[in-house]
Amino acid sequence: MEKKKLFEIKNIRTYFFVEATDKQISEDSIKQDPRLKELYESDKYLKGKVPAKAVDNVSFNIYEGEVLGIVGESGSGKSVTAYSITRLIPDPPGKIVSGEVIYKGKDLLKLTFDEMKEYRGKEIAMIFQEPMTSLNPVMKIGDQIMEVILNHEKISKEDAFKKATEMLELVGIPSPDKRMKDYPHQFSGGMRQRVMIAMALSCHPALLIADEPTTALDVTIQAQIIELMLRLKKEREEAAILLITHNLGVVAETCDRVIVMYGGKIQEIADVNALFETPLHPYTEGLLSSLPNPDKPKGKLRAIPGIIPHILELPKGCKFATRCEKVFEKCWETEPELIEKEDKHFVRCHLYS
Amino acid sequence: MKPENILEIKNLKVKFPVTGGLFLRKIAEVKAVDGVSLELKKGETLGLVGESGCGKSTIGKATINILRFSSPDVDITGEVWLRTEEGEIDLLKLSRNEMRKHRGLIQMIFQDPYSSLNARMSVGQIIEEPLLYHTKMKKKERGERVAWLLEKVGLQPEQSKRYPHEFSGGQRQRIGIARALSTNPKIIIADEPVSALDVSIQAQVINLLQELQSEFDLTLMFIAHDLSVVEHISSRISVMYLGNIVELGPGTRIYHHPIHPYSKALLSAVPLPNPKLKNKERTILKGDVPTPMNKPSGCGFRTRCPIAKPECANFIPVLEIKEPEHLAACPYVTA
Repeated sequence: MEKKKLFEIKNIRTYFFVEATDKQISEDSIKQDPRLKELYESDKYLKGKVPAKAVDNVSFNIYEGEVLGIVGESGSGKSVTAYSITRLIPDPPGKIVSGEVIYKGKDLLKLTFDEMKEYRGKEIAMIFQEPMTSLNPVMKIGDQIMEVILNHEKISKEDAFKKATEMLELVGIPSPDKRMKDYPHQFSGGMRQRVMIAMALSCHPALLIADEPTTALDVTIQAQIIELMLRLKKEREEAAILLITHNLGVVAETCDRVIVMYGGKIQEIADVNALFETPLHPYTEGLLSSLPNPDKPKGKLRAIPGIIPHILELPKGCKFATRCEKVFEKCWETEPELIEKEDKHFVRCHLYS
Repeated sequence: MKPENILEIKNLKVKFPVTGGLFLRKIAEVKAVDGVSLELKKGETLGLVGESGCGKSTIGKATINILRFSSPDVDITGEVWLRTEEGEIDLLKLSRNEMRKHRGLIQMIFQDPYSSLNARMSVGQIIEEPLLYHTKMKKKERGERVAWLLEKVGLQPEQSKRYPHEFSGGQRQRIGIARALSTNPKIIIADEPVSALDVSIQAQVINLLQELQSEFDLTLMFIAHDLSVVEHISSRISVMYLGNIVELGPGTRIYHHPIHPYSKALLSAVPLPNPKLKNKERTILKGDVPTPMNKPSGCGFRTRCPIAKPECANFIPVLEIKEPEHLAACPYVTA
C-alpha cells in the first residue's frame, strides 16, 4: 500500500551569510545564481558577505505514520533542514533562500509570521537536545504545558490544567498533579525531556521533529525516552516523527526510513534495513564500518580519513570527494545527481551514474 | 604491589562537601567515590564505564592528584601506589612538589579538546610546556621533540606555530594526546577522549591511541560511557554505579555475558546499529540514577534493580569472584 504524503519538502536552500576573507570565488558563484543575485540586490545587509550553504537543494517527503531519520555529522545540515521546515532559522544571518514545504496543499514558507505561529505547536512540534535550555526556568512546568494548549485550543483554564496533567501522566511522570506545580530545576534531565515530549504532543501535532532528543542523556535514560517516543507513536497512527541524530544505533532502533546528509546535501535515502545491509554511498559505508563492532574480531577500526572541510571550502563537485576512498576525476568536477539506484533507495554518487 | 601491576588503587574514597546556609557551612557530604580498589596491569587497557555521577571521572582525577591540589575541601582517603624506577610510592601522600617529580609518569587526556587547551598558546608551546617542568631539555631539543610528537599523532611539524582555534575537534584531541605523551609517561588516563567527536573522527582517534599504546608500551585507563567503544579498546572493564564498582572482568566477557543486574540493564539499553535487533528483549530500568547525595542504604542499585529483595537495604554488597577473573558485587547472581 502506498503511504500518503504528509509533508513535501522541495529544493530547500538555507544559506547563512557570513563575512569571509576569500570573497572572489563566491562572488562569481553569486553572479551565476539568479535567485542569489536578486537577494543581494534587494538586501543591503548582504553586501560584502558570502553564502555558507548549510542546506543546499534538499528535497524529500515525509509520509504518514513513519519515523524518518536524518543522520549526519556536525555541520552536515541535518538540524538546519529541520529548523527550515519550522522556519526557526535566525535571520540574520540565516535565510531560506528558496524552496517549498507543502503541507495540506499549502506552502508553509509563504505564510506570514503570525500564520506560521498557528502551525508551530499545533501541526508541527519540536523537541530539542538540551531540555534545560528549552524550558523556561522561572515558570511552573504545568503553566508551560498549559500555555501550549491554551494557545492552540479554545478551552477553559480548568480543562487545560486537566489535559496538561493527563499529558504528564502519559509520559510517565509519577504523581503528575503534584509535579505540575514544580519548576524545571526540580526535574532530572530525563524527566525534563519527558516534559518536553508532553508539551510537544499536547496538541496532537501531525509531525514531531526531534532534534537529538537523547544525546544529552545517560544510556539507561536514553532507552526510556526512545521507548516512550515509540509507544506514543503507536497511539497516533497517522502522525510522523522526523528524528535528527548522529547516533546510528538510535537510528537502527527507531527509524523506518533514513536520510544521510553530508556537506549540506542529501547523499542517500533508504529504508532502514537496506541502509544498514547494503549502504550504497561510500560515506554511509564509511560511517557504518567506523563503528566498533563487538561481534567482530578486534583490530584497527576502518576510519574515514581526513576531516570535514569548512563549509566555505567544500569541493566543487561531490562534497565528500576530499575524504572518499573511491574518488576519481569526475567527482572533483561535477556534482552527482541523487538517483534512484534501487527501489526507493536513492544515492548521490558517480559510482552509480 | 603485585609484580605485574603498575598502579594499585586501594579503598579510594572521595567525599565532596556540600555547603549551604548563610555562611556556606558544610551541611552534607557527597560520596562521589565510595571505597574503590583497582589494579592496572602493565601494558593493559582498563575501561571504566558508568553513567553520569557514578564517579568514574573522579577516580581519574583523584589518581593523578589534581583533585587534591585544586580543591583542598575535598576529602580523599585511601592509597594509590605507583611503580617508579625509585620504587613504589603512594601518590596520595606526596606534597605538591614531590608530585611534580612524578607527574610526568602519569598523564591525562580530557573529553573536551576545546577547553582543555590554552587558547592563547600556540600548539608548539602547549606541547612544550610539560617538557619545561619535567625534563632538563635545552630549547633546541624541546623543539625537536615537539616536531617529533606532532608527527607521531598525525599532524605536521609546521603546524606548531598555529593556535588551537585553527584546528578541528579531532585535531585538537590529537594535540592533547601529543601533550600527554611529551614526558614519556607510563600511564595515560583518558577521560572520555572521543565522546565529543563525530563518529568518523572517533575511529581515527581510537586507532591512534591504540597505535601509540603499543609503540610506547603505555598502560591506559579509558574512562567512557560508550560501551561499544570501551569494549573495543579495553582488555578489562570495570562497571561503576554511584561510586562503587559493581562488576569487574575481561572486556569481552562483560560485554557478552554481564553478571550484575546493572551491567545487564546498561548493556541492553545500548542502541545497536543493526535494525534487525529492533525488537530484541530489553530490560528498561525504571526511574533515574539517584544523586550520590541521597544514595540508598545498602546496595546503591536496589531502587532500580529488577531483582531487588528487601534484604538489599541492609548490607553493602562486596565484589565476589563469580568466574575466573570476573567479579560482581551482588550475592544473588551467578555467572
